[in-house]
Amino acid sequence: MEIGRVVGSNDHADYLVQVYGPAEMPTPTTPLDRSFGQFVEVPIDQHDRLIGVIYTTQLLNPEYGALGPRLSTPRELTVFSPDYLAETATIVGVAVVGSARDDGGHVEYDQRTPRLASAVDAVVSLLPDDRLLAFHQFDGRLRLAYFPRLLARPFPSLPDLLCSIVDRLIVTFPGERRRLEVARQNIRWRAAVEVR
Amino acid sequence: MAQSESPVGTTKGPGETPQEYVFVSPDLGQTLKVGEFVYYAAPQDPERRPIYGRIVGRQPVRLYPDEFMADPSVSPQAMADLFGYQGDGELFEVAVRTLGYFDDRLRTFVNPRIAPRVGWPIYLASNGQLAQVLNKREVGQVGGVHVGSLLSREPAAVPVVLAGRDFTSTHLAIVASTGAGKSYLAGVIVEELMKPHNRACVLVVDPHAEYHTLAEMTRHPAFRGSDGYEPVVRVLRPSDIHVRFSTLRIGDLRHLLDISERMEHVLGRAHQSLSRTRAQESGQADHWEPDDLIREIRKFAAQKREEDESQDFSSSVSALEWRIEHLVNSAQILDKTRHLDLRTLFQPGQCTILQLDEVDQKEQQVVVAVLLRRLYQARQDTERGRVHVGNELFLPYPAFVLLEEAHHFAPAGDGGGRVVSAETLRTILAEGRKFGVGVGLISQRPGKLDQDVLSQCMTQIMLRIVNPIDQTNVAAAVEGASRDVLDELPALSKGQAVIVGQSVNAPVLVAVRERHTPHGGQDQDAPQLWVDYSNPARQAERDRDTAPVAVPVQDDPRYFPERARPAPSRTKSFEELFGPEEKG
Repeated sequence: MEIGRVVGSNDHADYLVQVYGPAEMPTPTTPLDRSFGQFVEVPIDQHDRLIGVIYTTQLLNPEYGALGPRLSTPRELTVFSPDYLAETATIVGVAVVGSARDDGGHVEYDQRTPRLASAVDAVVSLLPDDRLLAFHQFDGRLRLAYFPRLLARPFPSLPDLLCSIVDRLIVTFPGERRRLEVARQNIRWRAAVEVR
Repeated sequence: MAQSESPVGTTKGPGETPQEYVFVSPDLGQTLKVGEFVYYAAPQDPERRPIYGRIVGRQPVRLYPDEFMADPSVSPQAMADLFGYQGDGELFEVAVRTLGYFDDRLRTFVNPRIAPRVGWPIYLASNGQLAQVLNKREVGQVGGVHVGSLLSREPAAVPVVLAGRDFTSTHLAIVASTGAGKSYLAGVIVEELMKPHNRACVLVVDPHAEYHTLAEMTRHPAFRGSDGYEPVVRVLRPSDIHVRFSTLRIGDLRHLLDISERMEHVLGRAHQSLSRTRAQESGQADHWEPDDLIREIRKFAAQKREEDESQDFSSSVSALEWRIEHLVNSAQILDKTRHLDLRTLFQPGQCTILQLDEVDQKEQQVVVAVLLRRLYQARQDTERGRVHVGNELFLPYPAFVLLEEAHHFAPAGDGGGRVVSAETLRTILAEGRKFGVGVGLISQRPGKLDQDVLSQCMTQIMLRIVNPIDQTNVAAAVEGASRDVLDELPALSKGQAVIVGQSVNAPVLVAVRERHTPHGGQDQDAPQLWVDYSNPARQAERDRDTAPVAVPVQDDPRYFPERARPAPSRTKSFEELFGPEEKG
């Protein structure tokens, strides 16, 4: 399910995605679709896709604080400047955690920083559960190789992001519960004790 | 250059001292133990000779974070694997003390005096390389004393062979705590010395009677030579050991008699006069008996009295007489006339064991002092051509004396001045090499052993030493033992030893080999013996042994009074024998 389009980036692995507004899609996105910790994919070409996770949300509203004089009334503006309607937007930050390459049926997932970058306007879709599962598996074992890269980023909400990923994966990978609990414990310890 | 497999590490740079360097290794095979040998080859050396070094330290430079160990059932490797790190993550910085390249001509290591460059590969020395460069001799070669194998390698992979030539001339010290395996190792050394390729002349001073099992060498196939050689082992009990009273010097007598200065003066003058007289009469100053000495003491006192009425030595003379007589009567080994011939004690291919277990310690010290002094004198006189065949001091071959409980014979501090054997030992340890008299000292208290004596032993074998004072003393006395070697001492197990000094090319950690003969100095298993004591069979045995002497029941009047023995026979009367006397 598509949730928006790439509108910019902060760096090679940190994209800004504008979430579709209520009138832009036949089925409008719900807040859950663009929630914190949601995995998404961004196609680059017919073979390659980026895989990322939503780590932040920004609401854009140019009207906020614009209390200056206007030539037209808001009612007239809806007639003469329809663009104005689009000036409020929901932007989500997507941290790229890996990539997928589809070679005619066989999909290979990689949790390293991808070589390829997305283009502006690229469509961003939710990552289906089966692909989420496949992305986190390496030789039949759970793999979180992107965690250290995320940890290196200066996101204030990072511990919660990682914990939410772990929580989700515990459900998906019940056999990996012990390892994931150690990981979650360490993240929480760092967030709760070491920062003080 | 014989290069083994792939490198185990990469040089990082110089170490803490000019002789050290460090390299970094993941050491996946857990082979880089302290004491292990590694090498590198300098690219500028056309021969690419391996430059050997000994690992002296190892510390981790990269470890898993502690938080990866939060759950004992989840390994840190599994956590690292979760975050995308595969393989083993640990890295170690290994410190190496450079020994140098092995010079075949000099048969020793030559230190290049420069650390390897960053990035040079480091290799683990192969078993073959080590066997070649660490030992001065090969197993079975003349002078080769195979004591065990290198501890860091598989058992028996790298034999450690001491150079008998070195330690039998520049002396040997074996020091360790009780129960670490000193006498076992000493037994191994004696066994090697008595093998057909060595056929040594060895005397073991055995104050605890634990070397008698070496007698089994005589019939053991391991000691049989192709030419029919078999070692001779003579175990001498205190009753077999005789030291002639007249061979005692004034210092020995003073030590044994415990006398005052006045008595010492009288004894000294009498002893001197007697020795001089006998030397003039028979050419042999030490041929006299205790009674002769007493007479000489009396004579000296009387002479002094004649010269000056005020000089009355009568009380000293009486005291000396009493002490000498008491000594002669109570001593076990001192004898008025008999003396052990040096040639009886010392013969090539013969191991003589002097068991002194029931002998008073003072007497032991005097016996050792006298024997060593005579041995040294004999070797000196023989080497200098002063004595010839037929003379009792003619000893035309070197000898090696192994001294158990050496701290009794050369104690540290003031004790050394009062013990007669200490001075003799110091002389032999300093000068003995010139005349082929080697000494092996064994002690469980190196701290109580005279430091001069210990430091004169150029080959040192150290087994486990836990006492810090003993460790410090060993460190002070043992030149070849660097700090890293001494750090090993408390960690050694029974039967493991550190060998440093002249008999090996480099300090080595050794697992002592198994003896051919049984060990005679094993501790008693007291709990087992106590349990055995209560065993019904043993109990019955004891009852039998302690039962009163049996009396046949049928003869016992308590049970059969009617069968009481007839009264003892009396002399029969004339009438009973021949009838009534005829009258008339």
